[in-house]
Amino acid sequence: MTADTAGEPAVTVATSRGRPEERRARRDLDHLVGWVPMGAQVLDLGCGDGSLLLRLEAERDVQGLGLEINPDNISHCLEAGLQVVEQDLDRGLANFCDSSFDVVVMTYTLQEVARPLRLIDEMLRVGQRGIVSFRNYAHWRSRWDTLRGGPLPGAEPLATTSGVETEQYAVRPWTVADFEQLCRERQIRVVGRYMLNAAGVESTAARHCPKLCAHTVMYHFSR
Amino acid sequence: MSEWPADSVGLVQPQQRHFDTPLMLACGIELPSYELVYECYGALNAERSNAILICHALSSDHHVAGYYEGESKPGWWEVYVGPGKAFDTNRFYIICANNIGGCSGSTGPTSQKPDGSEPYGPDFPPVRVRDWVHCQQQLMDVLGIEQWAAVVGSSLGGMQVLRWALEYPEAMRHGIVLASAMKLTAQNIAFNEIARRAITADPDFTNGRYLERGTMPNKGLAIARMIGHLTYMSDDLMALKFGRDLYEGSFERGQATDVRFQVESYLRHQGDKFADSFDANSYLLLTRALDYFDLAREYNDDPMQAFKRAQAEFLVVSFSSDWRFAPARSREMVRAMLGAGRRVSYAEINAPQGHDAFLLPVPRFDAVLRGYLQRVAAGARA
Repeated sequence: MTADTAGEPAVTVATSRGRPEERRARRDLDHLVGWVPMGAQVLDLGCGDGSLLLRLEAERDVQGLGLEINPDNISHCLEAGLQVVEQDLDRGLANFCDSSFDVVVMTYTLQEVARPLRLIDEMLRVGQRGIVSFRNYAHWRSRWDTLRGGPLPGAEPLATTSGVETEQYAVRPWTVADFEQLCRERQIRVVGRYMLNAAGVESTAARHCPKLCAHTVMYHFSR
Repeated sequence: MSEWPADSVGLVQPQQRHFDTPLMLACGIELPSYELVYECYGALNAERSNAILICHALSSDHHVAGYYEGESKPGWWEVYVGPGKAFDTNRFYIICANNIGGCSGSTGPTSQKPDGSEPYGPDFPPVRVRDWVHCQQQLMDVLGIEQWAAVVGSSLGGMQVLRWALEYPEAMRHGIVLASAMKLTAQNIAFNEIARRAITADPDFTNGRYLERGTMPNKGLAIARMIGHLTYMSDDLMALKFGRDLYEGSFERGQATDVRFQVESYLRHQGDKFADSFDANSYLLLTRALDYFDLAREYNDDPMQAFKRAQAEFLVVSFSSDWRFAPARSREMVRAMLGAGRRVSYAEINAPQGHDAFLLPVPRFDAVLRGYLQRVAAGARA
């Protein structure tokens, strides 16, 4: 455990595709919640078990709708009283009208979608603002792990010994540089960004040298 | 059978109500009076806020759960309705009425005309989904219920839920629409037409006057049911259930006897069983009601505009292997609901059982219903 993760308990949460992803306590979401206006209409792409939407409903009084494909997550959302629609993000958002949401959020899902560029365009078609968070795969620890000959960052360990191969989803790792370039090229205006260390805190290092030191990044953007 | 499973509502009895107020049907013909047969389970709470209306599908009836005296077969939705089940009779007061035009007790083609001269038979006026909704609303008044906690239905029952949401938007808090559609496709209407032709082509149908003549068109009705039943199953399920297994005969060389596959025997049995218990005129009338239904016809064919009238929150569920009421139909519905600003949740259950999956124990379906019904119950307490 490195210095910037000390003191934060590790939690494992299921992403939409059911890949367990180790994440620090959801302090990272504190930043995101502040970007959402009171009473906003919010669409959460890959809403997981609905914990973010529940927080936004409680703290920002939003009208939330989650899209999700994992059956267990959908059941969780239904039990929690959330509005959830089973939908594969790879099929796009064609079933939503233009500007039908104030904010479209996508946390820790960008790396798993088949056509991320189209999806980001779609986010800004159906919503006024977009919020995306993802793990920066160019973080120094990923680089170090790779240098040491470890597995590719973000990839699941191959089950070479058990003989049972679980379904593999293509992961397209994203970096701070990737996203900044995407915004420049597609005329997307970055309204706000948070560069967080592995504990979900904005550290000086992460802020000053995000490409290397930001573990998790959050972007708030519009056209 | 004297002992019921602990999670069953147990022994039940249908109730009957006579309505003297004439019912103006959508076709413009007036039904001077009519009977509704229905069943209720659970108890209405003091606030009268926990009532759930179940709308039944094409050929089922008001016997949703529990057992009749001397019978070992429970109601058609026993799997999901009972104490501690998804539709928990400890929490909800559950009502299902037999639709008029059917043949299970409510007024229909087998009932006597008001003057007592003869059964309605083919003279029973055509009925549309909204007519059933209006009848159910009359019953609601009689039972002293002002607002349903939820209206739920699958297939043709789901269409009733949708119509309820537009006809009486304030009278329901939740609409639960299972394996249904906003209207049938041409392919779907075609299956119904083949079924109807099988009935009307039976010489014993005698233009629908078979009751007076004592000639029952059972052959035609059985074929009609075989076609229907086939479309309620998926290819995968049939492969699993029957494959190419033989019921009788053999393909050995030198064997000249007829060979019959299991699937043939099964379909014949289903058809014959149905023909013995259902009325041919009812089947014609009910399949037409199914064909005629088009949610948005009077809303410029724009379902989004239609759902703007609704106020309920919706749960929509489809089953992956259901090709008669395919998931695509439910997705269209969800899209229109979302576009109209309705609150809606949607689940697409991966199940191999085809259209009939909603009748069978499917764990994920159960979980989805239970999850959603928690909020229905929470709203009923408030």
